[in-house]
Amino acid sequence: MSPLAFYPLAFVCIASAMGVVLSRNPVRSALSLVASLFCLAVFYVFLQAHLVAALQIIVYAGAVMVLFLFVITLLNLESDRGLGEKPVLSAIGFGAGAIVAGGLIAALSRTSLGARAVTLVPTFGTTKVLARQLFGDYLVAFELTSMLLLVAVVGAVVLAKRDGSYEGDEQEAAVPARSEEASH
Amino acid sequence: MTQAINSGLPLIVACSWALLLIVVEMFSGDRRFVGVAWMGVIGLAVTAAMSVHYASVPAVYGNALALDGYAVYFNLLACTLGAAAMLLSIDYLGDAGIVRGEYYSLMFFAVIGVVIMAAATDLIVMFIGLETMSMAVYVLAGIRKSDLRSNEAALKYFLLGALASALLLYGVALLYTITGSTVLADVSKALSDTQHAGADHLVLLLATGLVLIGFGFKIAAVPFHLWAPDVYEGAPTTVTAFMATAVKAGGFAALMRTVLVALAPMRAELAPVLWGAAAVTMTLGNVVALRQTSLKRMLAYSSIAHTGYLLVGVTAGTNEAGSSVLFYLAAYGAMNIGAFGVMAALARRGRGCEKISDFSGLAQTHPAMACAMALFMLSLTGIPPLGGFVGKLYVFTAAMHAGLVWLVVIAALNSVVSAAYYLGVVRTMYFDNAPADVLPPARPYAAVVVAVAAVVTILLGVAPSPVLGSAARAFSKVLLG
Repeated sequence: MSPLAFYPLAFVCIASAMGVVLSRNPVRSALSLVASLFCLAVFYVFLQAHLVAALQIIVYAGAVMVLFLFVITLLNLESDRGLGEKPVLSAIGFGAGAIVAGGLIAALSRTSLGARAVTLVPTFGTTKVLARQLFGDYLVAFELTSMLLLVAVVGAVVLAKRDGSYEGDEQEAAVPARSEEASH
Repeated sequence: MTQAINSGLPLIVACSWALLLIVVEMFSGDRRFVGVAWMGVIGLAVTAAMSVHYASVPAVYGNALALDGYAVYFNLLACTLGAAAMLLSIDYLGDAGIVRGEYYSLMFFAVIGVVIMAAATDLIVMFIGLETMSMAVYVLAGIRKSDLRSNEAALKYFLLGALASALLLYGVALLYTITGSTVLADVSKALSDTQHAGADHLVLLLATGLVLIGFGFKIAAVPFHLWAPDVYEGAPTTVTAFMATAVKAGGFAALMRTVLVALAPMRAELAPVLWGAAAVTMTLGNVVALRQTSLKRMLAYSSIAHTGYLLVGVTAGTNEAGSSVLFYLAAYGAMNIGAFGVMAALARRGRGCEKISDFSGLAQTHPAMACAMALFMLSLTGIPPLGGFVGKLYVFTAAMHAGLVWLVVIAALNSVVSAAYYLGVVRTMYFDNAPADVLPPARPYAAVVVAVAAVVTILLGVAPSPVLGSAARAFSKVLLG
C-alpha cells in the first residue's frame, strides 16, 4: 500500500473515529462511525482481505449502522443533552485517554514489527483461505461464538419482553415492607 | 479424532442442555419453574460427570481447548456452584417477583462460560468463554426489571464490563502481533525468545497491562472493583451468590492460566504489579467493608478482600500456591453460597432481608439459620477449624515459601481487621433483640442448600485432604517446564 493512499485514508479514518466520540449529536456520531468503518474496509482491500472488506461494509457499515440509526431515531434523543457529566470527571477521562493513547503511540512507533514481517502467499485473504482457517484451525472459536451470539439474543429478549404478573402467594405480597426504624 | 470429540462432549452436551431448557421453559405451565430448575441442576450434574469421565485430554482442536485436570476441577466447581444457585433461586424468584423461566437457561450458559474459560488454552477461546459468561450475568443482574437498583446494576455492569472486555481484547491482539500466536503455550515460547528484544518490550508491557486490566475487572481487583458493591447490591440475591462465587472462580481460572502459562516469561515484571494489586485489594476491601450497613454490600467488599487473598497465591505462582488457590476458591464458594443462601431463604416480597439490622435477634427466631450464618461468617474471617481458615493457611504458607513475607504479614493483618465486621453480624444475630415482626420461616430448598454449604464448610476445615489432593493434582500439569 503506497504512503500516498495510506496517509490520507488513515487521517480520514482517525478523524471520523474522533467524530464518533466528540460529537454531541447521536446521529452525527453514528454517521461518523459509518465513515470510519468504510475507511477500515478500504484498508482491508489493500491488505488483500477482500471478503473481510465486503463483510465489513455489508454487515457493519450497512446492517448494524442502519439499526443504530433506527434506534436513535425511535428514541428521539435530544441532540445536546449530555449525561450531566462534571468537568472534573471529563478532565480525568481525557487525561486517562491521553495517557493510554500516548503509551500506545510510543510503544507501537518503536516496535520492530517490520523486521519480522512475513511474506504472504498470493491467495491470502481470499474466501477459500479464510474459510479454511475459520472452519479448520478456528472451528472451536467459531462455534462457540455462535453460542455467544445466541446467549446475547436470549438475554436481549428477556430484558425487552414485558413481565407477566406473578400469580404466587398474594397474601405474602400484601405484607408491607418493614421500615428501618422497626428493626431497632 | 475420537479423543477430540470425547473431550468436547461435555461442552456439547452442556450447550444442548441449556438450549433444551429454553424450550422446556416455554411449555412450562408452572410459574415457579420448579421443573426447569431441577432440569438445570440435572444438566449441570451430567456435565460435571461427563467431564470427569472424559478427563485428562491435553489439548485438542488446534490447541484451543484442553480437558486437563485444571479444567475438570473448575468444571466441577462451577457446576456445583451453579446448581446451588439454581436451587436457591426456586423460591427466591417468586419472592423477588421474577417470572422469567429463561433465568435458569441464562445461569446454565454462564456456567458454560466459566467452563470454557477454565478449559481454554487459546486466548481467543478464553475471551469467548469470558463473554459468554458475562453476557448471561449482565442479563441476570438486571432480570428484576421493576427494580431500579437491579436496572442500575445491570447497566453499570454491562458498560464497565464491555469496556474491560475491549481492553482485554486489545491486549490479546497486541500479544498476537508480538508473538504471532494466541495459543497460551506458543505465546509463552515466543515471549521467552523475544523477551529482551528491546523495542518490542514496551508493546509487551502494554499488552500485558491491558490483559491484566480485563481480568482484574472480572475478579473485582482494586482499582477495577468500583462496579462490585453496586452490582452485588442491585442484582437479585441468588444472582449475587452466583457472581461472587462462580464468576470469580472463572475469572481466576482464566487469569491464572494466562499469567502463569502464557506470560510466565514476564514473571519478573509482573510480580511487583501483582504484589501491589493483592495488597491494595485486600486492604481496601476490608477497610471499606467495616462501614457497611447492608449485608450485601458488606459481602461485596468482603469478596473484594478475598480477591486480594487469592491474588497473594497468584503472585507466588508456584505449584503449591496454585493448588492452594484452587482449594481456596472451593472453600470460598461454599461459605459465600451459604451466606447469600441465608439471605435468600429469609427474603420475601417487599422485604429483601439485605440489611445487617434485618438479622437482629435471628438466633431467637431462627436458631438453625443463625447458627449457619455464624458459621459462614467465622469461616470467612478464617477461624479454625473451618474451610476458610484452611484455605487461607495454605495460600499464605505457599506465599511464605515463595518468599513473600511482607505480603503475608499484610494479609494476616487484614484477616484480623476483617474479624470486626464478620463478627459484627454474629453479634447482631445473637445479642440484639428480635424486632416485633419476626422474619418468616426459611424456604425449604434454600435451607437445604444452606445446610449442605455449612457441612461442606466444616468438612473442608476438618478433612481438607481429599479436595486439597485433587486441587494439587489438577494444578500439577498447568505450569510449563
